[in-house]
Order: sequence, then structure tokens, then C-alpha cells
Amino acid sequence: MSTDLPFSTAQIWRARQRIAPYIRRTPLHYSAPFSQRLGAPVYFKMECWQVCGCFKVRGAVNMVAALSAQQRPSGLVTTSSGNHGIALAYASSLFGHPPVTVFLPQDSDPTKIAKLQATGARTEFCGRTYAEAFEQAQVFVRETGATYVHSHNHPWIIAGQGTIGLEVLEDLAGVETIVVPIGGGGLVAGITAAVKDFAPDVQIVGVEPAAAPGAWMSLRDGVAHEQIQTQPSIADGLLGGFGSLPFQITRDRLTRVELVEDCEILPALDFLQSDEQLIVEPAAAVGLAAALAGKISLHGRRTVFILTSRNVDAVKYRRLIEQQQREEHQ
Amino acid sequence: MSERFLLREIWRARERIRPYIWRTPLLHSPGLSHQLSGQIFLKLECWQVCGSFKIRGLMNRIASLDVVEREKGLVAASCGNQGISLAYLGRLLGIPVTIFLPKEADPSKIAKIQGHGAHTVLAAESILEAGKQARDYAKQNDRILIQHDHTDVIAGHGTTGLEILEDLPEVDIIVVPVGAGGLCSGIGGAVKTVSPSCAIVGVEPSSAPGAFLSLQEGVCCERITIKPSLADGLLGGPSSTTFSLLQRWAEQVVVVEEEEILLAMQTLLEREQLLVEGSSAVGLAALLAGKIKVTDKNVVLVITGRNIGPQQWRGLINPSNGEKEAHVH
Repeated sequence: MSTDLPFSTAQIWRARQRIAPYIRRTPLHYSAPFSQRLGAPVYFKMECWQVCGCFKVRGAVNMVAALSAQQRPSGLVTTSSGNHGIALAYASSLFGHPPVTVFLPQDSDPTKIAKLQATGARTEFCGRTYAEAFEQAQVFVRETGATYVHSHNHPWIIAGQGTIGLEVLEDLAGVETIVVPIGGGGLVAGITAAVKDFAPDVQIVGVEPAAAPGAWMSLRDGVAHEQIQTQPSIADGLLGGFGSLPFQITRDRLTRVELVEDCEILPALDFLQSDEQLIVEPAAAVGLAAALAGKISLHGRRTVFILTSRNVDAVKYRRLIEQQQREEHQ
Repeated sequence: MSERFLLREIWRARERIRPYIWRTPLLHSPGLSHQLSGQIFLKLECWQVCGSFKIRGLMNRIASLDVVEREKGLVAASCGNQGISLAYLGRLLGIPVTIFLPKEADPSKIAKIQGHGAHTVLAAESILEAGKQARDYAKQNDRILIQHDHTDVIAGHGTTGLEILEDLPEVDIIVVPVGAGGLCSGIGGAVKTVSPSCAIVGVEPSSAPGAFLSLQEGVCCERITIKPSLADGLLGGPSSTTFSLLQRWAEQVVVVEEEEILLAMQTLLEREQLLVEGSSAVGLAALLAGKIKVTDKNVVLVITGRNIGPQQWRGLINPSNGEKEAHVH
């Protein structure tokens, strides 16, 4: 890696120690039914069982823990409709409850807004897009001196998510492939950095919804596409461009990025329920979706899928499963 | 068995089974706490290895067997979770396992047991008959019969209680689903000796109220009428061993109805994104129905498993369907 990168794997080790008291060391689960389906030993990293229901808490806790006692009281700000905002509110509760403000587009999902507000975070609605909400958040930062906690484009966030990579290596030293969902790229960057140091032969495969192919476009063009046009998708947690720092970290080391359609995510959700009795949000299932659709061939290699989150609205989840079961009948 | 004896066995079990199980989290639920005006915590055994708490007791039982006994092979009767966990451990440790199931056992659970390489026998009309077949088979073929009320099994289950005490020493009430009562006996053994003021409350489906009737009558009612239930893992009754332990430790045993169980399953899905089997939800069902008073108390609900069968699952996806099917069966 180039030496001018504002990131080193030592940050992941520091993150690991910092966040250990506040997060769960989630299990690595060997899935017999999915191993059979995919013709290779398949393991799930159960971040859907993480505190707050999502891996995001690792990065958020690491960042708030790393801030100085002078910085924290001025408050924390972010732009997020879901998991990152909830994780940040939890992180704040661990370190003296500095106020958390979350900027959102006006038409955000009401259930996620409710969940966010239940954490005690203050919500500010402005504009129609995340880019507009982000602009407003920057104005707020200048006016109040609060710290902006980026959901993926910050070394401390990436370092926190990278602790997952260390745990995977600990639990399965012979891992050969790791499949990671990609939104902004914080998770895939952290895992790549953590794993490639010790096990350079491990393949890291990213998967994102075809509705938001930020990482795929970035690798194709050799430049980070941070702002992209997105379509709606059931994997709503992954809709956005690819961060510049994640791009720098992963550009030469990511084996490849695959894109999946919504109709490919549904069977993965359904099989996770029927084979393993696991409920996850659609964004967490994109990796399995790509494998089940034949877009990733495992070639008998020991493969870990990161199941990132279980925060899905029950009504929405039921509707998706019903839809899949209807399609099976036809 | 004396209280001290059982507690000592539970501590030994903890050490023995540690490498084979996951130390499951205790999850505080702000939503349920608000709704029920008490602090509600969920002990998530539904995230345990093999999807239920059963592996704790079974692993402890196997750990107490010597090499000769292990080579003979293990036999058990089960309609689900016990069979899955035993088959898993058998494969892991290289011990042959035979599971006797009732004919109408859930096909997805049978597939899981077979998937772990265990031998299955599906010839019984009921779980009681499967139990008898397993006993006879073990005797005739010199195999080790794994019984759910063996001290080592109860002690293994009791490790759940130690973890609850570790995570929440100020617990006031622990609510435990009761089938044969092994889990409730073990948790009582771990908790009541250390923290006598903590109440242990058992919950059963009204379809199989064996422990409730036994405590009421003061004698172990082993022969009760059993109806189908969403809580199909709890369709049994106490043995003389678990009955005496329940009598000693359980404050009370309450019964819940099918629609109360369904509501609790839906609530866990909606509030906490937890997908659980019907048997796991009986505790919350009792709380939501106001059958256990929890105001201002620290309450732990043991969520025992997630191995939900397709019938319960359809009920959860489409509630009106599920109720119909649960009654018709």
C-alpha cells in the first residue's frame, strides 16, 4: 500500500482493543445447508447478532472512543437513515452522552426515522437527497463545532469495521474467500486491510446492488465515484457511491465486485429463513444472492459471507418473503 | 439430589462444555420494557450452536461418558431440537447416534438430524412411544440411552442460569419455557442456591399442561392429554426427577393459549428482529397476557430456540392461516 495513505492496519488493532468492552465478538457459523447448496464449505460471520443489530457499531464506537474528552461534548453529527445513525447514538451513550444530530432527506423511511428517534438522537430533515443533507450537516458542524462522524470515509470508522477481518482469521485460519456487501465501502476496506496483511492469498469479493454500482464503477474507471445516480432497491442500506478512502485501500486488493438484482436477493432471504432460521435485512444477503445466482463461483474454497445486519422492518420482511414464495409457486 | 450437589455439577458442566457452545448474549429490550413497565431482558439461546439450548445439557452428558461408553453409541427420542444437537455432537466427536422420532415429526427437523449423519427411526405414533422404542433399542443393542432428566443433562442446561447471574446479578424473575422441565430445573439449581429471592416462573402451552397440573395436584402427572401446539417443543410433561426440582424451585407454572403464543412470536419479530420457534415465545406470551406481574422488576425471558418449522413460519407470515393450521394439524 502507498505510504501516504492516512490509514494503517495498526489502527485496526487499536480499534479492536478500544471497542472490545462494548461490542459482541460474534460467532462464525458453519452452514451445512448452504455448504451443500454452494458446493463449498460456507461460513457466516454473524454481525446480524451484533449490538444494535448491525456491524456499524464497531466503527461508530471506535470513532467516539478515539475522540478526545474535549471534542466529545460539542456533539456528534452524521447523515444516515438507519444503522449508522443508530450505532452512533449507542456509541454516544457509552461516552458521556454527547448530543447526536442526524441529518436526513425529507422523504426518509418512517420506520427508520422512528427507530432513530427512539435512541434519543435529534433528527433534522432537509433537502431531497443525502448530498443535500450532507451539505446541511457541514453547515451545522461549522456553526456548533460538533464532530462529523462519517459512515464510511474515515480511518477510525474503517478501522472499527476492520476488526471483523481479524475475528474471521482467528476463527478460520484457512479461509480462502471472504464475500462482503458494499455500500460506501467502510466494511470492505476495513476487512481488506485487516486480512491482506496476514493472508495475502485470501480473495476478497465485494457485492453491491445493481441499483447503486459505486464500487464496481470505481474499480472499472480507476477513480472513486463518490456521488452516483442510484435506483431504488430492497437493499436500501447499500444505496450510495464508493468512498475515496475505501477506494484507495481496496483498489489493488479487491479480487472483484459483483452486482445483484433485487430478484436475486429474495431467494437468499428465503433460504436463510428456511434453512438456517436466520432473519437478516436484504442488504446483508447480497453476497449469498450473488453466489446462489452463480455470479460468484466458490470452486470448493472455504468461503465466509459477512451477514451484516438484521434491522429489517417486520412488515417489509414478511412482504418480501411472501413475494418470493408466490414467485416460486408460479 | 441436593442443592449443593447440583450447583457443583453445574460449575463442572460450565468448564466442560465451554469449547462447544456459544456464550449467548443477554439483550435488554427497551421497547418491551416500556410496554410492560418492567426491565425486560432476553437470554438469546436461540442463537446457540444448533439453534437451541439443548446442546448444553447433551454435551455435558457426553463429556461424562468414558471411551467405552462412547464407542457403544448414543440413542435418544426427540421430536426436534434434542435430536439436532445430539446428531451434531455425534458427528463432531465421532460417536454414532440413533434418534427415534414420532411419525409426524417436522420433516425439516428430520432432515437436519439426518444431515448431521445420525440414524433416524420414524415408527412411533407419539413422542411417548418413541421414548419407549428408544429405551428398548438401547437395552437390546447395548447403547447409551440419553434421557432428558439425567443429572448431567440438567446440570448442563443449568449453565444458562450462571450466565444470567453473571450478566444481571440483580435479576428478580426468570421466565423459562417448560416441556419436560429440564431447563427450568437446571436454571433453578444455578440461580436459587445463589440468589434465593429470584423467582423462577415456568410457562407451558395449555395444550400440554403437565407441570402446571403436577404442581397443582402435588403429584407428578406423567399421563396427560396432549394437543397440537405452536410450541411443539414443549409437548411433554415432567418426570419424577424434574417434578421434584420444579416443586422445589419454581414459584409457579403458568399456561398460555395458542393465540397468545402467536402474538408473542410476532412481537419478537417486530420489536427485536428475532425469529424464534413457538416454544421460545411462551414466556413473552404469558407477560403480554398479564399472567405474570413484572412491574418495576428485572425480568429475564429465556428464548430457547429458533428452529421454527414451516407450519409455525406460515403462521407468522400469515397469521390467519397459522391459527387454522395449528388447530387442524
